[in-house]
Amino acid sequence: MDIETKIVHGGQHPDKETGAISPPIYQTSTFAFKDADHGARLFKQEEEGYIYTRLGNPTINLLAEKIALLESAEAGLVFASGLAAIFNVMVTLVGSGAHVVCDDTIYGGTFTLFKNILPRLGIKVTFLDATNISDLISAINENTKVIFIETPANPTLKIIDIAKCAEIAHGKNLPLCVDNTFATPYLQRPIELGADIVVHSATKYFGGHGDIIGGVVVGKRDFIKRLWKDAKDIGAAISPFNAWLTLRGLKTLAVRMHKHCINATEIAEYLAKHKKIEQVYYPGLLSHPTYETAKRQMSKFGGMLGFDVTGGKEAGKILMNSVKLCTLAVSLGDVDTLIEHPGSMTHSGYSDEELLESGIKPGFVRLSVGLENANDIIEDLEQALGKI
Amino acid sequence: MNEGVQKYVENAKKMIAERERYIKQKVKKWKFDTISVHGAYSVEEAIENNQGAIIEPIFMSSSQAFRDSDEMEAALSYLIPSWTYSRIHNPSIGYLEDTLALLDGYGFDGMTGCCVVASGMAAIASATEPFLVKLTNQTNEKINFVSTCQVYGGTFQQFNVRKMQERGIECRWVADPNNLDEWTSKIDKNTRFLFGELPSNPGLVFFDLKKVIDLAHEHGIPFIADSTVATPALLRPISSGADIVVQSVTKTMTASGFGIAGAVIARKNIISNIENDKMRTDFTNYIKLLPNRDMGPCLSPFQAVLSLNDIRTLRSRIDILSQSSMKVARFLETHPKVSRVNYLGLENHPLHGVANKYLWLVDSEYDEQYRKPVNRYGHLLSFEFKGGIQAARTMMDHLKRIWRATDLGRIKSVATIPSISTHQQMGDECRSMACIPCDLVRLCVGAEHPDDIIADLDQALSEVK
Repeated sequence: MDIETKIVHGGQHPDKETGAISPPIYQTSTFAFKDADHGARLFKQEEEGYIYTRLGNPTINLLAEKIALLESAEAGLVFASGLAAIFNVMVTLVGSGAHVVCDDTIYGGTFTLFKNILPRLGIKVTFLDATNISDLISAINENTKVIFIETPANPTLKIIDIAKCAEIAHGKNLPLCVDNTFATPYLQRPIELGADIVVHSATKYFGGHGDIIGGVVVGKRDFIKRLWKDAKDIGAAISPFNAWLTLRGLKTLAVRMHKHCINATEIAEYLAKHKKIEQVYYPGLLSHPTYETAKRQMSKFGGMLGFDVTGGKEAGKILMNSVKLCTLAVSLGDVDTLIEHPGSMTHSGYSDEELLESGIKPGFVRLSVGLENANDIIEDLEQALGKI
Repeated sequence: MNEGVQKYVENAKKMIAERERYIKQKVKKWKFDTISVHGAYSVEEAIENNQGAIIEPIFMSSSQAFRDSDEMEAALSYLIPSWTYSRIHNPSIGYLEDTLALLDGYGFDGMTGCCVVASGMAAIASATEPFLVKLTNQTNEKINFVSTCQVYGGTFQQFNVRKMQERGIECRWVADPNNLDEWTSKIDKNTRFLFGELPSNPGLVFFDLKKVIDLAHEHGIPFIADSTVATPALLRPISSGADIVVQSVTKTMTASGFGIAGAVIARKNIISNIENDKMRTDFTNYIKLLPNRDMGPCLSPFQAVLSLNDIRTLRSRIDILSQSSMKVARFLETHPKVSRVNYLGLENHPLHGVANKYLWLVDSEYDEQYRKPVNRYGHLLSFEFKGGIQAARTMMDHLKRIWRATDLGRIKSVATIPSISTHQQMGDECRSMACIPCDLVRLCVGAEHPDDIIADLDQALSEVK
């Protein structure tokens, strides 16, 4: 079955009793047992069934099943947010005293989690540029438990070779964990390229409408079982309603991503020619340093782009304050075009030096291209750039 | 009927019989609070059908898949209970309907049914339209119905403009619903039903329900009550003999303010001079499966579960809200700037006596804190000013915590001036007929501490010069 068909039908079965085609929202915190023994068997996991929504819920599980299917994974688990998904993976894989190798260009919230929170739990983290293979190999030591990358990377759209990283990880008997939020399985399926674990902020393209917060992990069934054991006690459970909204949003993932890509390409090409733009970061541009890798592992190039405005941070500020159609806001993957300044917003957890090391210049502006008419977005950028 | 269809029909018969037995032998014997909490949603149903979910699932699905064409045929020809398509029915809608039918049928020996719809106004249309049909082929057939004129402005508009002016169906208004002679004088052989809203919004008019119902039945026509302001926690007209009750579920029932919903509740075998046995036998099932299927005023399943969730605390909520309202009414009654307070709980209200016959807090005799029947009067009240409309507007404009909005039934206190808002569309003449003076302020008391509500009213009233 093609990914487009899976996106529509995947994980969906008419409700057994009522025949409802769209899955019901099980907005319930708890579930009735047939009798005391039934409850005990469920707790001992001798029998499948539902106990309490933090431990599992039919609506939430359906979402996990669907995303696993889209990512060509065996199983999945859904969380209250993308960061909860990543945190739970790290807690399950990496104990105190152990070590993580992580690419240095990742979402700012993930960076703060790795830089500040994980070390407090006794976890050591090495940040590096994972496109540099010799650096990657030499960073791995006997305590390393996982390699973590995000590609395309937020916010610079750096593309990391998933297959190569997987090869290196597997050579050292390590799992590779990929944050696939920017691409979605419509454009890129890391597990098919060798990755072991894929994480998502479902808040972004999965939900697609800016109305939920959610996260997902997919991988091998055994791993997801281990993850569940920890996750149920850590407690970052998503609301069944948010899970249901995500299921609903997912149905149009293919058509949305298709249009996001078309719009982003047009805008990237427009910006590349604009005299007030120093550099455009979009993996679909031939000038993009990792265009070849992108072409190899992605079917299209996504809806995210970045750019440096001539005149640096101050010029970028004028631009962001002058847009009328684009919304000055963080988050991404919405139907609306969102514009933001990573250095002072999404990636403010990076120090100035760390920003530069990750290739994020002071004036770097990130654009999450929405589903408006591309000409209207361009017109808005044009008038805003005119104010500089 | 082929064999396959037959099989589905037989299974359905067993299921229906079992369900009726459950409702009659178990659910109907519970107290009001237990029904509010559970409705007819059983532990067995949760475990067998819904993965054990304690809370009724929200079936956000427009349609139902069938096992085979036999089941489809049986369902679409209404031979088996099914839901088919959410314009007609839906499992989540069913949970809400069961609860509402049981609550408005509480204390009534017979069975009741319910059809929920998109709004209270849709409920009124759904409850009244089946009676406003032609009985003969004569084109000049003059149809009429009789209604109290103290009704919500939207109801007045539906009756006066949509039915009377646009379609020539005469609405005969009763000015004093406690005057039985006035009711009688308006009824003739073309009268299809009597309609009354009690207590009325915003004037809090009340009347002797049983007498008017008996009068309707003497003429072979049904009585339809709008019992929105009271809710079944205080008043259940079906127990007094009413045929049909309409509720704006949006109001006190869904106190959270999470959405718009309406309901028609009816007893089985209503009185009507319309020769339509399906309609008379099971009115709510009839409107659900036929007219409403064709007219389409269906409720969202999501809204159904939201409303259901609010209804679980109805009785205790209305008890507290009524007690707060009583305090607020007493404060207003003695305030020098206020000329009149309409609240049925005030001893000097002319309709206090008749209201006391009907407005009881359900099950107060089983309530530890009362141990005897207790009158309660709801959380809607209205008042007038010595300084007229200007005083009313000044007070309204200075409210700081009480919301200015056209809403009632909320967990939050809300005030409005009906003559410029909810009842504006009626016009001066109709408002004076319905006893809504221009300076009347309607206040629906929320669950804030009554001292804080009184303090806000006090400071706003002090601005009235």
